[in-house]
Amino acid sequence: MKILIVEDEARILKRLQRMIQEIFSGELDLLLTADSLESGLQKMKNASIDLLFLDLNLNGLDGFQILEEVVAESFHTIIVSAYKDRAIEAFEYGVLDFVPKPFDIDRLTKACKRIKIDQKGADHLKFLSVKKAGKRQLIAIDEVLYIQGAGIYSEIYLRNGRKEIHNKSLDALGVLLPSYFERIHKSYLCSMKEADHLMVEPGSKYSLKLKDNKVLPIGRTRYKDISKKWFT
Amino acid sequence: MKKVALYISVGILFLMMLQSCQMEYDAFGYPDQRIMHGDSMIWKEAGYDDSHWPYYIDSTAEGIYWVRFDFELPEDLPHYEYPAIKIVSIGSYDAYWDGTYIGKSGQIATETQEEEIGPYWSFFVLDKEVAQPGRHVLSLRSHISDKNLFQHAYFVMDDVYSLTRTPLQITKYMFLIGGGILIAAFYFFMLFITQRKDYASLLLSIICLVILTIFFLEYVKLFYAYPYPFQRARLHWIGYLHLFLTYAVPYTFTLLFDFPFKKYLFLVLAIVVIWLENKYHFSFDYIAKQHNMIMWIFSILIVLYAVYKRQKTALVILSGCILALIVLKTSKYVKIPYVSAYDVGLFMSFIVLILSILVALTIIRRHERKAFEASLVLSERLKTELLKKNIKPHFIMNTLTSLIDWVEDSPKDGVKFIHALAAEFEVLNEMADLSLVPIEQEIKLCKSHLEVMAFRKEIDYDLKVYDIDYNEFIPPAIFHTVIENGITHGLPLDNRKIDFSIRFERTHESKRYSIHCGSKIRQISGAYEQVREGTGNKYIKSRLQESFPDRWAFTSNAVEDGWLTQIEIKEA
Repeated sequence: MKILIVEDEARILKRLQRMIQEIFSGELDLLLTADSLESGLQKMKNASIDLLFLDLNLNGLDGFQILEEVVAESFHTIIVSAYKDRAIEAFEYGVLDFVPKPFDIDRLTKACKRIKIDQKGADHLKFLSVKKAGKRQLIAIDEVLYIQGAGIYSEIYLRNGRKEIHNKSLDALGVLLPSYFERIHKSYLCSMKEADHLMVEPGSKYSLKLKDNKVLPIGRTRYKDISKKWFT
Repeated sequence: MKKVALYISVGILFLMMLQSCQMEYDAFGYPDQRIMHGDSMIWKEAGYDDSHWPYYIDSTAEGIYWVRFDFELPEDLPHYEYPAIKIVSIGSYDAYWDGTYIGKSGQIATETQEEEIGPYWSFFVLDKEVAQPGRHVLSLRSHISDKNLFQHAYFVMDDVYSLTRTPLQITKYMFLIGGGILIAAFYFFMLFITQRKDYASLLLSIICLVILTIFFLEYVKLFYAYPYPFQRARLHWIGYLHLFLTYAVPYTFTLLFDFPFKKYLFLVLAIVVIWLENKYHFSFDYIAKQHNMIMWIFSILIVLYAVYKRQKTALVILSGCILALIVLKTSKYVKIPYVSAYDVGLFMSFIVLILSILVALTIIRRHERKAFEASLVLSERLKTELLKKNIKPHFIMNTLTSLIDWVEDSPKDGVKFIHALAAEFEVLNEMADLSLVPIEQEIKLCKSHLEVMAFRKEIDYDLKVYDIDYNEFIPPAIFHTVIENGITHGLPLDNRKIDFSIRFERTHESKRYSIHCGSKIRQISGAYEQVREGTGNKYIKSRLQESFPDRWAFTSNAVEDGWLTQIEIKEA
């Protein structure tokens, strides 16, 4: 696990460093720190990190500008901020968790665990931020029909027929997406709002027909649960 | 709405003026005079041929002279029940109507007796029989002792009642208006009393009184038969007062509006006025008219500039000026008995001017009241902002997080941290309700803040002060805000140190505080650069404006060895 902490308060940075070391202990491959956005961005580029701890108010700058950018990346972001009132806004952009200051190790541990457990977020995510030709673009989550995993990144299929690439893996996105997104197959995450009916074809081939007639495969092991959860 | 009120009142004044002109007017008067030095009782006779006499002679104070009015009473002359004449003359005289002695004014000097000065005007009642249509001669055997006086004489004939009453009938309106001007003078003076340094109001008050005095001097001749030498003094005074207005009215406008070319304008005005005075000093009426015209031209120039610069109420005053000029210029088309229509027009024009200034002042007062209310709101907002400074989540939560860490790590230092925080809160709390605080308290606040921040940032902050005058006051949390900015935007030097310094300088007209932050400046890449004009600087500027309206300067910029903020306060 490679982790970066961006925090301009020296004392708090130390505290985070200490606690993260404690939480991840053996799993930790690399722990980087930065006391400004500038050096933080630099370090993000140089080391492919898995998790970012970000303070939203760095040296008088509003961190929400940078937030839009970092959530489009492959790594997960945990916000550590004094502005608790902006937590929901942060979740809308797709952060893994929002840890309000002051914090203790228990709260931090809880946040870190979310990266491992496929535990659905509180349905706050409203946008997916994708990078396209170097520019950030926000996709409204309601526009998403389904997402197909493609190795380290994902392909997002939209209502308008277009396809966008997200730098996060299907697993990483799965953690962030609202609860009506169901992992119907190891390569598919589907918005169940778009699902029409289940289809069973000969040879135990299961699939899901969407409202726009698109047919997605359903994993054999998942069929029972999905059928029970969404179609009864 | 106020403009409508102005125009309505001007309309009413106009109507009053016209109404006064509607009065029955059937007097006869103002025939040409002929004049001759010397003394002969033949000259009183109607039959004497005076056609070789001049109309005017230069020097009359050389002995007896005769003035003759040879005139025709028209056939359509109204039937006067009690015909009378009013003779207006500079000089004492004996009066003869068609050769018959009808009375005298004063007593002409004789070899044994000095002249007894007569009144400027006198009434003489005539017999009905001698005032019939046809040719008549009024002869005045006259004398002036004072060499400085110039002869002039005329007469008016009318029924004795209208001759004596009509002038008062007309002037009653003028005195009504005069009362209004007196109230305006009092009002302006009270404005000045309640708001010292409001010299425009003081000047307006004086202007009103001067107008009122001209008014009185103009019309005193209609009801007070003063000794004839006073006539000249009276005209002199009217001239001086007009001259005063020629300067005072445009000058008032330069006080009401900002006018940058004041010196040049008044220099030109002075040149024009001196030239006029030199040339026409003794043409009393003419020069008064010229002074008045110059006054309007210069006033309108100033107001036009104010309109061009979109200054408040300039349009109201401009329309007042133009309306006043129209009133003045149209007055010559109105015929008014016994009084000069020009004078009536003049007073009307002043009334219009004063009314427009009153309207303008009302508007200005309203703006001022609004500005005052806004300043109250601003003060309240600044107070809240000051209180919020230390309960903003960014400050309090970061501080608490650091504090927890210190307590967990080293309880002893944790306690020190708590004390530093308590000190900062305490000073801030003391300041909360003040708009100015002693400089010492402000520095104390800065020091305690730096102590707190040192615990949080683990940077060695130092604050040095130079030449501080501890008797000075500044708005609360001004330096504090500058230092906060320094902490936020400055990168510590390699020895993890940031040095702050506050330096005080005083010149004879201003005080300057220079706050220097010795740090590396954090470079912000284009994409994330935000305007430096943060809430902090806005707070400082608002506070300075609150306590030192329009006489402060705030600059904040990078210097070679850090960041320099300068606050300059000009002396009031």
